[in-house]
Amino acid sequence: MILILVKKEIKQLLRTGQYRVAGFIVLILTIMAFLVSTGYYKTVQEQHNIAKSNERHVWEHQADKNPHSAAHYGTYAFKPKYPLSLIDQGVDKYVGISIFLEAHKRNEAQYAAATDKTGLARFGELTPDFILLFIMPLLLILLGHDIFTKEKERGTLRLIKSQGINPRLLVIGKWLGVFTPIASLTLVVFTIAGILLGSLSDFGSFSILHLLCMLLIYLIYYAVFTSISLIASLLSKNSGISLVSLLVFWILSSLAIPKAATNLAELKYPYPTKQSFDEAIGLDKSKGLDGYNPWSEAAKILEQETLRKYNVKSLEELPFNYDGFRMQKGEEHEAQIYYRHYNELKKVYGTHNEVYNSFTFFSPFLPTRFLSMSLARTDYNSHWDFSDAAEKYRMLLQDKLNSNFAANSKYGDWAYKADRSLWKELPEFVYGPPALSEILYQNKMSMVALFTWLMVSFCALFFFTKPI
Amino acid sequence: MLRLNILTEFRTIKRNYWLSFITVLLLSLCLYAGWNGQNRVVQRQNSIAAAINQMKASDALMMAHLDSLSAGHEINLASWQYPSLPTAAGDLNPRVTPFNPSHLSFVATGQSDMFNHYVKPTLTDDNFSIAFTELASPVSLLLGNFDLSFVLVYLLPLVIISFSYNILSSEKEQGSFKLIATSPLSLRLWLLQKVLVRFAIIVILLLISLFIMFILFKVSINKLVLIFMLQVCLYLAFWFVLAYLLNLRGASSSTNAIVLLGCWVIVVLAIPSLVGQSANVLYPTPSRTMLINEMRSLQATVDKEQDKILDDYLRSHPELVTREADESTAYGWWQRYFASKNLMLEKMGPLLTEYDQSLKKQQEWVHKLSFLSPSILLQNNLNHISNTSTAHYNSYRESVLHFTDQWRDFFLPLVFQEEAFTKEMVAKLPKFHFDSSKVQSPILLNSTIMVIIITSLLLLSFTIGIKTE
Repeated sequence: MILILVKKEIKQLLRTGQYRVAGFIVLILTIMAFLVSTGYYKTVQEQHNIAKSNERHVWEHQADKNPHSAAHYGTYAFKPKYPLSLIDQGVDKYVGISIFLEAHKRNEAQYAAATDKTGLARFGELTPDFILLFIMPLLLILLGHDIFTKEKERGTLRLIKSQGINPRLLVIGKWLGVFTPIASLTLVVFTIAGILLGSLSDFGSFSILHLLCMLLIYLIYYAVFTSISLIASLLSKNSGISLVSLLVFWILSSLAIPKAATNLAELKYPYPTKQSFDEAIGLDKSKGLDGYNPWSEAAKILEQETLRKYNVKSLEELPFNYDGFRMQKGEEHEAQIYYRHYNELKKVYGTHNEVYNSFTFFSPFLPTRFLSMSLARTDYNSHWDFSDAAEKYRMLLQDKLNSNFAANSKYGDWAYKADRSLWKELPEFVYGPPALSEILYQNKMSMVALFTWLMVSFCALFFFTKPI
Repeated sequence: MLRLNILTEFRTIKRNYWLSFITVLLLSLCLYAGWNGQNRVVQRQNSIAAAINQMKASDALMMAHLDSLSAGHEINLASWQYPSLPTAAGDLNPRVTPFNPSHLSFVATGQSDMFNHYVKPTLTDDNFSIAFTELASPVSLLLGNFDLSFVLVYLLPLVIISFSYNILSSEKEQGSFKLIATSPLSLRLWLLQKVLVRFAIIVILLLISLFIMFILFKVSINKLVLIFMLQVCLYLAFWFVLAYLLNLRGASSSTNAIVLLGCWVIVVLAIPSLVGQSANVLYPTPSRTMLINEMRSLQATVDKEQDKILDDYLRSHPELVTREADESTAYGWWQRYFASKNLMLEKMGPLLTEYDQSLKKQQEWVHKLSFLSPSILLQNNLNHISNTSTAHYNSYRESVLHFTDQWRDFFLPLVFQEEAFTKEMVAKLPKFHFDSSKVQSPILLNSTIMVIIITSLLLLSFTIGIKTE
């Protein structure tokens, strides 16, 4: 019985010209979006590889110089782009692409793509995630808004009821009739994505499991919209009211609520301005151990402690260059200051996340948005992860350089120059993204919210079938 | 007859729940969005005020230190931080370069959540090192703000659509259409007066809501506010004309709703995203990664030629040669540093210019295609009125970079001539001023395009005949 109903609904949808045209347009737009995104991804990846190897070349081919000069000369860590970013670009265009790693300073990632674009970029770009998150639910609304109202308007609902059909079976049949075409379109889209991902040279850096999880998330999202469309159609007097009320829900869910959540988060827990953040770090640094300033109080304490520990009377008697040693201690101390301040920043973002999480129960868009970009590794957590890894590498670099300075020269010997072979000995920056299990754990609230939406929308649909 | 019809129409709407619903909806949306925008502006003003107060305190301390030093007293600073050293004065006592909000900045967030509103350029800064991006959560940037421009550009058309998608079709569906068709008034005029009544109601309600909001937020009503109102009315007119056209076609309510919502998706979502993507494909944003790459290669070359650089620099700036550059002194170190930096800037100049020109091409392309969507036109105008457009932030950036050059030009002769920075020089320090009124306004052009679009649609309406059956 259900099969007959589903077949009838799909046949009817396929026979309706406007649905065929809408479906075709969405498919063409999706293919266009994928092709453009793949081209963009390949270009960025190529540039990333060139820049990475060039940066290493520049680093390794420095002349003989003092290791601390090399530390100031610094190096760049370039943020890798992941294959699934061609489906969901997430916050990628709002975060920087590279971090400059130098002595005494933890830098922010620089050059976010959005800062180079006009205000138009804020409207959104035709990318696969734009279609999957915004356009597909609209297509669902188009297909589902009149699924019951048209039967009411034509008077065919009475005819169906007179045949003694179980209302629940009717609803399931209609639900599948609306959901199946969209699910099939989504499957086509993800198959195209799979083929495009397979054609990439760095295909190995993503697991097919991520793609399947993403597909599942979107199918759940569409199932929620299907149920809500059917509820609206069941409760509305005519197709027009049903369509308008569904559109109000769509705009609230996809645009208004996320924006209101942002405003609330920023009002309750504002981010510090860049200048005040830097100044707070500068103030803390000035109070503590400065690698350069042997007259500061903290430096004097360290000096006394070191002399005591090695049981010598002057810094010249130490078995290493005290300048290099103090420089490293200063680095470690400053790294702690940075760690504390960046942790505060993370806490602010954590509170923002709590606000967003509380809003996920008002909008199925929000949990889908967060899960999708996390799986594509284009979310803010992935960026933090990269930034932390870069900072860890910076500290490793400083330690190696300062240790070389301390071990191979004498106190006050700033003219010491390390052999250029040292630059090659220092390890390259390698970054591996978090595992799938970690990503899912970070997004547990979004998963709970999305499943809640699925269950509640299903239950509500069956609750409202009673009047049929 | 016409007057009677208009009165009847107004009374019908008044008796319907729509009028009270739309009144409450528009007022609450305007107040909520305005309040959000206002909060953002207050945060911006507070951060600028705090920075200026801090600068004043730092200046007072610097003056006290300079006094002590001139009297021969010791001060509690490391020797390299002595404000009498031009490098310390120029690096440790920078000026605040504020970009103050205008009185309508709360209307559109525009680019204001992405860029900072003051920087403190120092002597060692250059156009490559100053960060103009604000510390913001990228998730907030991605999801955007619930500001007044969002209400006007995105939500208002939906209110209009839900208010006018079934003017003619509902009469047909209720069976009263044949009765109307028998009246002496032409159907086209009958529909037009119905649309006009609705247009007038929405305009009046919206303007009242906006006025209430302006009064509550103590915004003075001036020419700019009136221009803002006019922009909004033009945008409303566009959507009503579209609704009029669709009603003229005489399709069913459900088809009208679908087509009008389709228009909304195309105008508000699809065209802006397509224009954005076309700019990416036709004029790709030049890669910052490759720019860093070139900069680093250049830096490596400069690094290897350190010794030659100062000689060359002093040869081309003989006015600065009053002392021998001695590497053993701090002055000598700084002289070498600035000479290398100058070479870097000179060599980077063409690269940065080329980069900026590529960006400009992409931005010009986007501007050219703005006419494709009235939503882009309105958003651009609102951003301009709010001083939050890309052009405003570009102009601010240029002003800051110009000021950075002035700041460097003030201190560099002191560094090279090994002169001390004195208390008398404080009054002569370069001052920053940013005049946002110099930014070219797109409002007249955009409004003209909007009028052309509306007129074209109205002319198109004469080609559509009403189906009486």
